[in-house]
Amino acid sequence: MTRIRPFILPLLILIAMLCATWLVWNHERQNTSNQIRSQFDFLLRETVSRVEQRMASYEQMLRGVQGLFTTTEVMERNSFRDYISSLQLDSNFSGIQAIGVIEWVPEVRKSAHVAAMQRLGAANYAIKPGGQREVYTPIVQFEPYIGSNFALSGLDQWPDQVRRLAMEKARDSGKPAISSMLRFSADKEADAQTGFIMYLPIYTKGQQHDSVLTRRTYLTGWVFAIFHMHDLMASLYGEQLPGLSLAIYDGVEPSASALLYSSVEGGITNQPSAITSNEYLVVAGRSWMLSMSTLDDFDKRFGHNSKSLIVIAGTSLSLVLAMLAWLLASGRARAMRLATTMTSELHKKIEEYEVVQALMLKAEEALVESNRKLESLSATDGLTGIANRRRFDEVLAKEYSRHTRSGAELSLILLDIDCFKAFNDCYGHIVGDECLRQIAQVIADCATRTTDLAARYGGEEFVCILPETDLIAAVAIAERIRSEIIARAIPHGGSSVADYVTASLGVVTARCSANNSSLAILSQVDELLYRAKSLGRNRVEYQFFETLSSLD
Amino acid sequence: MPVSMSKKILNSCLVCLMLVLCDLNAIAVASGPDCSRPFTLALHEHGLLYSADTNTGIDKDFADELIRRSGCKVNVNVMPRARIWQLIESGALDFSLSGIATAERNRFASFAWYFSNKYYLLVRKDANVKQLSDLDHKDRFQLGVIRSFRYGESANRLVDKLQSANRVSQANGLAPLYQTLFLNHIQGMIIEPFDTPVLEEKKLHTITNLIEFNDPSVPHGLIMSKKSLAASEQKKWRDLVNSMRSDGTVRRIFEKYFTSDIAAAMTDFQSPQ
Repeated sequence: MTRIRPFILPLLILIAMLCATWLVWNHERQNTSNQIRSQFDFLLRETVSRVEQRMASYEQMLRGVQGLFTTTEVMERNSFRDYISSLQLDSNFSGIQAIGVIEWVPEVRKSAHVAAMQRLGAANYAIKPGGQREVYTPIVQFEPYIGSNFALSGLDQWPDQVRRLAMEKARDSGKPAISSMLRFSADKEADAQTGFIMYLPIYTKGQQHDSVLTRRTYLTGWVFAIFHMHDLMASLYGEQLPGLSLAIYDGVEPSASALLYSSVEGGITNQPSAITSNEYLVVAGRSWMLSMSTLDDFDKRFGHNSKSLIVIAGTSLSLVLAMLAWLLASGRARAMRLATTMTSELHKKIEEYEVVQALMLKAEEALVESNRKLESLSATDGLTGIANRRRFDEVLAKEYSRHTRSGAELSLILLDIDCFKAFNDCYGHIVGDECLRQIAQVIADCATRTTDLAARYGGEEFVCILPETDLIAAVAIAERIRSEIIARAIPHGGSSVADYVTASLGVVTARCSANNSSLAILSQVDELLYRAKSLGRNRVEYQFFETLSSLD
Repeated sequence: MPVSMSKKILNSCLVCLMLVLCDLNAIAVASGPDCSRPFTLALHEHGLLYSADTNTGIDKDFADELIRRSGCKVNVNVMPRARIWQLIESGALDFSLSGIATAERNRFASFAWYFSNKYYLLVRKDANVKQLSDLDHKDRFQLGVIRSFRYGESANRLVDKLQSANRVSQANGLAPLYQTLFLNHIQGMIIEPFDTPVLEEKKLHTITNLIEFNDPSVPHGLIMSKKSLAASEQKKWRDLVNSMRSDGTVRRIFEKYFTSDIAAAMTDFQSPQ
C-alpha cells in the first residue's frame, strides 16, 4: 500500500487530464464535424440553387423564342434565325447544342407541309423517318445551322417515346417540360453525350389555351433546346466545387443508366468517411436527383486540424503533470526515507558514541584507580604496608603548617627496634622482615585516629605523627606501643635487652611556629630516641619541644 | 302624422341610405391596391395547391380571383419554394401563396391568412411507425422534406432533429418525394390535406399510414414582401383577401377540391393578429 501511494495521485491526475483532453478533443471533433457538415449543406444548397437558376435562365431564354411565335408564323425562317442570333448565345450558354422549332403536322397536312418547306428553300426536305403516320412532328428550323445539326432537319420527334412524352407534357401544361435523359450518339465525337431536350409549346395565335382541351386543339408546334449536360454544368456560374464530387441522375434513383452528369470520371464512388447527401430537384416538371459527396481533401480544406494538436498537447500536458505530481509525491516519500535512514544512522552513531563514552569513562575510572593505586603504592612501604618515608614527609609538612596556623600541639614518636641487626643475623632477613611487619602492625593499631599516621622511617625505624596531641597523650601511646611489642613476645635471641623483641622510643610534642621547622622536631625526636637507646633500650624518652639548645 | 307623410319620409330615408351606400362602395374601390406598376406572384407546385401539369389548383384559383379583384397587372410564375422565399426576402417578388409564418420570415414578409390546416406525417407501413414517438427508435428512418418548408411546432422539431442526424432528404418539389417514398429511399414525408388526393393518384395510399402531428392548425396566407410593398399597400391587399374570405369566395374555391366539411374546417379559422 505504501509503495502504491505515491502513484495514486499522479494516476488520478493523469486520468483526469486525459479525460479533460478527451472532452476537449470530442468537443472539437463535434465542432469540426458540425462545421464541415454546415459547409457541406451550404455548398449543396448553393449547387442546387445554381442548377435551378441556370435552368430557369434557359427556360426564360426559351420563353423568348416561344414569345417570338406569338408574333410570327412557325414557318418564318428568317425571323427565327435573326432572333436567335440577337440572343448572342455565347459561351455562357454553351450547354445548348441547338435551339429549334417543331411543327405539329397531322397526316392530312403532310404533303402541304413538305411542299411549303421546299418552297422556303429546303429543296431536299423530307420528314424522317419516312412512312405514313397519324401525326408528324418534324423539326422545321434550328440554330446553329451547322455541323451535326444538319441531321435534325425534318426529323420527326413523335415516334421517339422519350421526346413524345416531354412534348405531350409541355403541350398539356403550356409550360416548359424536359425529356428524360438522352444519349446524343449522332454526334461525330467518339463518346456519346448525355443530355436532354426542353420543350415549350406554341399555340395558334389569338386563341385561348387555358385548358388541356384548348391547348391540344390549338397546338401548332414546339420550340425546343437540346442540352449537353456536361457543357451545361460547365457553364454554371461560380467556382468549381472544392473537395466535392457531384452527380446528377435523371429520376430519383442513382443508377448508372440514369447518370446525367458526374464531376468525377466514372461516376461517384463513395468513400466510407465521406458525407453524402441527395437532393431532389424538379426541373421543368422532371425530377432529378443531385448527389453530392465529399472527397478526401474536403475535410482538409474546411476542417481545422486542431484535433490532433489537442490530442498531442493534452496527452503531453497530462503526462508532464502526472510526472510532476509523482515527483512531488515521491519526493516527499524519498525525503522521508532519507530522513529515516539518516536518523537511524544518527541513532547508531549516538549509540556507538555512548559505548565509546562508557568505555572512556571506564578507562578513565581505571586510570584514576591506577593513579590512586600508584599514589597509594608510592606512599606505602612495600614491606610493612604502612606509610613510607615519602608519605611521612608530606604529612608532616602539611601537619606542621596546619598546626602552625591552629596553634595546636603536634607530637611525634620515633621508634627503633632494639638490636635488630643481631635479629637479622640470628633469624635471617625473612624473619626480620616479618618482625618489621608485626612491629608496624602494632604501631598502626595504637595510632588509631584517622588523623594519626604510622610510617616506616627507614630500616628498623618507625615514626608516628599524632596531630593535636599533647605530650602526655603521646607518651601514653608510645608506652602502649612499647608494651604491645613486648606483649607480642617475638623471640630475639641476639638481644642484649631481653629474649624478645623490644623497642626504644623517643617522643616529642611541639607547638609549631614559623620560626621552627619540622626538621627541627625530627632532629629532636631522633635525639630522644638516641637517648633512650643509650639509657638501656626498651624505654620511652620524651620531651616538650622548645628549642634544640634546651635539650643540651 | 298621416300615413302618406310617413311613407314619403321613409322613401327619402331609403334614397339617402342608398346614396350613402353608393358612396361607401366608391370609397372602397378608391382604397383598393395601388396598381401603378405590374406585380409578380409566384406559385409552387404542391398537390392540390397547384399542379403545373394541368396549370390548375387552389392557389391558381385564389390568385386569379385576387388579381381580378385588385384590378392590377400581376405576372404569375411557378418556382421552387426555396427560391420564392429568397425572392420575397430580396423584394424581387411581390407575392406568393399558402405561406406560413416563422420568426425569420416575419422579418421580411407579411401575411394575409386565408386557410388553416394541420400537418400529417405520411409513413410507409413497412417502417412500423404507429405514432411519432416510435421514430425515436428508428435509426434508419429517412424523412423527405421540401427545402425551406416549415410546419407546426412538433413537425419542425422532428425535421430539425432528423436534419442534425443527417436523416433528411431535401427536394424542391413534392413529386420526387412521392417517388422516393414509393421506392423506399425515404420512409416518411410531411404532407398537408391538399396532398392526400395525390396519394391515390400515385398509388401510395395502400402502402402508407397517416399520423397527425399534435399541433394546432397552422394558418396559411398570401405572402407579401415587406421590401417591395409599403405597409399601407400590404393592408389593402390583406383587406382584399379578407373580403374574399368574408364573402365565401375562399370557401367556394376550397369546395371545388374538397368535400364541404373539410373545406369548412380549413377556411373557418380565427385569424392570428
